[in-house]
Amino acid sequence: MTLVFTFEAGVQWFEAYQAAKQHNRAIIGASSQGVGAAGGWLAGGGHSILAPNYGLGASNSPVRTKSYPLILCRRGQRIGDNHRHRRR
Amino acid sequence: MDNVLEITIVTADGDHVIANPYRNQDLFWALRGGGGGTWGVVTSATYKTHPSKPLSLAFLSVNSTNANSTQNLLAEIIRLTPSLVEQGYGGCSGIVADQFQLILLSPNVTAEQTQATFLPLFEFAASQPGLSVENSTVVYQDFWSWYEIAFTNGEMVGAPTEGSSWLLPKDIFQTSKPEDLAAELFKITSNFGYW
Repeated sequence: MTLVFTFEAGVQWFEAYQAAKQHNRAIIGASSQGVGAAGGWLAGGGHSILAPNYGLGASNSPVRTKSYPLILCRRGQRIGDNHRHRRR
Repeated sequence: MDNVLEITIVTADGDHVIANPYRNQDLFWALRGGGGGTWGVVTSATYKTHPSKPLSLAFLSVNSTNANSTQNLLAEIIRLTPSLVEQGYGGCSGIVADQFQLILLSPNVTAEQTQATFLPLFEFAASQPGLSVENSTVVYQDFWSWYEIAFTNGEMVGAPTEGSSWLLPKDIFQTSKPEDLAAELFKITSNFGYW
């Protein structure tokens, strides 16, 4: 099952990685634990040690028809589970 | 390959908007590489996840009293690079004339394959005059197992220097003279990373 995560501003990458691990998933992110998961890393393209396999953080293929189960993460708390990924 | 699926942002005119391939497509495009703080205040990012897999890691650390040896070692790494990319290795290195560190890992290979790939490089490093070499290979059960050891010791990574980067095309590395490329890289700067 392909999960997706929404990280609100303030969530740092080490928290993002922990959230992904709880669901036995890997996520493409920054090296430094203090970098924000919704921020400059992505705006700079999103380089990662796993990017040769899974693409840069900024990778997005233009055509998609799927919806995914979504987990929303705020700094310090997980506020939701299994929301549908919104597509408008 | 997908990673980011959607971004929410407060734009300069004060609107809190959703940017994705269907809404505000121009903003979504610009945000993905346009630089921090350029287009507004990003309030969230939505990312796809990938299967959690074991990661096979190779580590090489060299202290050098011989700059030629350091350069020769870089040439060997350049020679190996097309094969490393093929096998899915990603990683980072820091290179100065007297010090050299290389950390590479791949989710697509076994411990045995990593040993076979890197043994010739480790042996080459050990054979060069003036190099004191440490090397190892190890398998981590997933990304977090590696990340926890490498990055969550309380120290922040990074340095107070201004950086720049190039994405180098594959054919640059498929050269018959990797030593020439190594020499050029050393000419550009005495302090660089190689990913």
